[in-house]
Amino acid sequence: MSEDKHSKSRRDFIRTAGVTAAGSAAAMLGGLGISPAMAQEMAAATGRSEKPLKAAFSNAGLQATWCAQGKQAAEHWGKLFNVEVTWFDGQLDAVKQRAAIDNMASQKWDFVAIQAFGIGTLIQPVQKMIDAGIPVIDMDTLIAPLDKINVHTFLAPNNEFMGAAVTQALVQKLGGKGKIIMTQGALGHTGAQGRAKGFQSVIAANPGMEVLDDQPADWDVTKASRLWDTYLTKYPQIDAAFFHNDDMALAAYNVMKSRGRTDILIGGVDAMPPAIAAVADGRMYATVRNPSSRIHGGAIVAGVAAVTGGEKTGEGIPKNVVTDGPVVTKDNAAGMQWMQNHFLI
Amino acid sequence: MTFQQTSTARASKSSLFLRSQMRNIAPFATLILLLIFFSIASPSFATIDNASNILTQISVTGIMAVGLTFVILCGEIDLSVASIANATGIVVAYFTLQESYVNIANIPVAGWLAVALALAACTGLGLVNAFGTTVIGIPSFIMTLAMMQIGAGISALLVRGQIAYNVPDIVSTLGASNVGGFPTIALVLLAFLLVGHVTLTYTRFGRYIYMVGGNREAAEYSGVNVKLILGAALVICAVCSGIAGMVGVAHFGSAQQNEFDGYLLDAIAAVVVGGTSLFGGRGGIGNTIVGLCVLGVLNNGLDHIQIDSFLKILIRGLILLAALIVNVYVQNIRSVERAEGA
Repeated sequence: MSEDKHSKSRRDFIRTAGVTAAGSAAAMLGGLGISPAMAQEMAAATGRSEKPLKAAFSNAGLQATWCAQGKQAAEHWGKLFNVEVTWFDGQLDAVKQRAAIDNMASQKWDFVAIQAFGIGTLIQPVQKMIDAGIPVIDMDTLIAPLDKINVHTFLAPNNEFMGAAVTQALVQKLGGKGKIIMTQGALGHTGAQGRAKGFQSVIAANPGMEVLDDQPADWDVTKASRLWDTYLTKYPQIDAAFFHNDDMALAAYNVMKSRGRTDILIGGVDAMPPAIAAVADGRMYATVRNPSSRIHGGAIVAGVAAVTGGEKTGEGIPKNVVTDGPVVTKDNAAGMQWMQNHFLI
Repeated sequence: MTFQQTSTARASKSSLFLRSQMRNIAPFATLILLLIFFSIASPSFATIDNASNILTQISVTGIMAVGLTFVILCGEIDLSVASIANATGIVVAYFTLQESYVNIANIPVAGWLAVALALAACTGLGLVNAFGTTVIGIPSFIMTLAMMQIGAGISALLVRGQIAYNVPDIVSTLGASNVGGFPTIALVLLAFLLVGHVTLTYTRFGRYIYMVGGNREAAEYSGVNVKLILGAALVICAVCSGIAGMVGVAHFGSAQQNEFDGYLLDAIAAVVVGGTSLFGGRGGIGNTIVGLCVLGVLNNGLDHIQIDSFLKILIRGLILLAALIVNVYVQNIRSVERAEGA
């Protein structure tokens, strides 16, 4: 009953605010525990398209769990908002994604959403779609600097914040004093650069922390394992470890476990289900949610709002929407998993 | 014969021996140099613990490289080793019960059956390689390039962007446990190296491999079934890769797409850097062992010293290039000597 009231009051609020489809986007993006059924009801009341809309999506590569989850989220929210989603896989390859987006640009869409694998590699076909009046929603990674290309909006988390938030959680647990290792993603990746910057900013503010090493493992679990073989041989005392993603963290945990060094506090990024399970059972101390569902689902909502609600950049939707997720520790792990099950975050 | 003549003859004999052994000596010298360099550059490098690290780290590559040695000795190449390893690792995980948070519609079966299915998968892929190369006549480079894609496709289809973590107990035991402090995955490697060496050195099949690689026409005229030998080498290579993939998945704790992609170059490099000729007929498991150690020490040593991460990639490439130049250079000397002798 109280839940019903809650949803009604939310709907009232949205109506009062005079926001149509964007309201449901905001509600969903808020990740406030709205069930899909409620969302469907809200979608019908606010922005669900009467005629089926055609949307094209592409993200970096479906071999990445984060991207695969994003696809599921986009399809889930697409169903609720009457959007038929066609997928163009980036295959974690700038050249292959360019070919896919070239194909995308030669067809007609109501809106498109793209996460670029490489910045600057998709400008021409994306510009072609923008010129044809198709709203292009940029997800997670810049297609090009925002002043160079007129995308509808840019939905992305702040990587620097994510790096800083998890590092802060580790540092706080250590009481501001200890030895830490950062295992980076690919150095050329803007996400990795942001996470490293966030890490460094927290370390700079805590002079008691000593960084033992910060080599990159290029998102590769085999490289992460190899590096950690060496670290555990080289450093008798390691208090904490920050990884640029959870997959590398879990791979390194195996190495630590095989040497009985499970006292190392592990922090990661992404908070995908295996990492949430690891946080819940204590293998990892913390991770931060990189909200794949919020970004991909948000792209559906933003696209529908643009097409049916006439929402324009700067009028209703800002050019840049920051979609940060929270730090996940034992305390909120279960709830975070539930929200992911329903593609809310 | 004067003393001077005798000593000149002795000197030219020893230089001839040195030159003939150049292929074996050069990689070994590279290994010694790398060991000395890293031992001086980092105090944590030359330790028992790190020796165990290196041995573990070369295990997956090594098992693949054993199979690849057979193929390269035949004068062929297999570009699908990493891809078949990946697909087989994923197949074995696909048929294993996974945790509830693993979002894969898999089919859990008994552990032994999962292993049998995975072995069948890699053998099947090897047979396709063999069929394409020997029966249809597709060059192995192209055939296995296609198989590289097929393996990647099977991997993608089964895991659909997700990661699986569990493998059957037998695979975990082989890939991720210790016997008296010694990593079992290294024991698996040693067993493969031993069987590979014995097969190549002491069996008729092994001699046929060298004959096919050394002079295919001569082998054919001598009554050797060249196609069968080539096909068998490709199947052996696929099975080695498959087993490397299974124990690799257990060792790294997860089965995911593209996990072993980086191992293709490492496996080929291990064989060739060790001194096995890319043109076939010369080399063997002994060379592969040295090549594996060179790569293992290089990869591991670069992690121990504080060096610009971007520079590391270049250094690896340059050392690989140097080893390949020696390989081809020695091959040329032999060809010239052979021509002069004839």
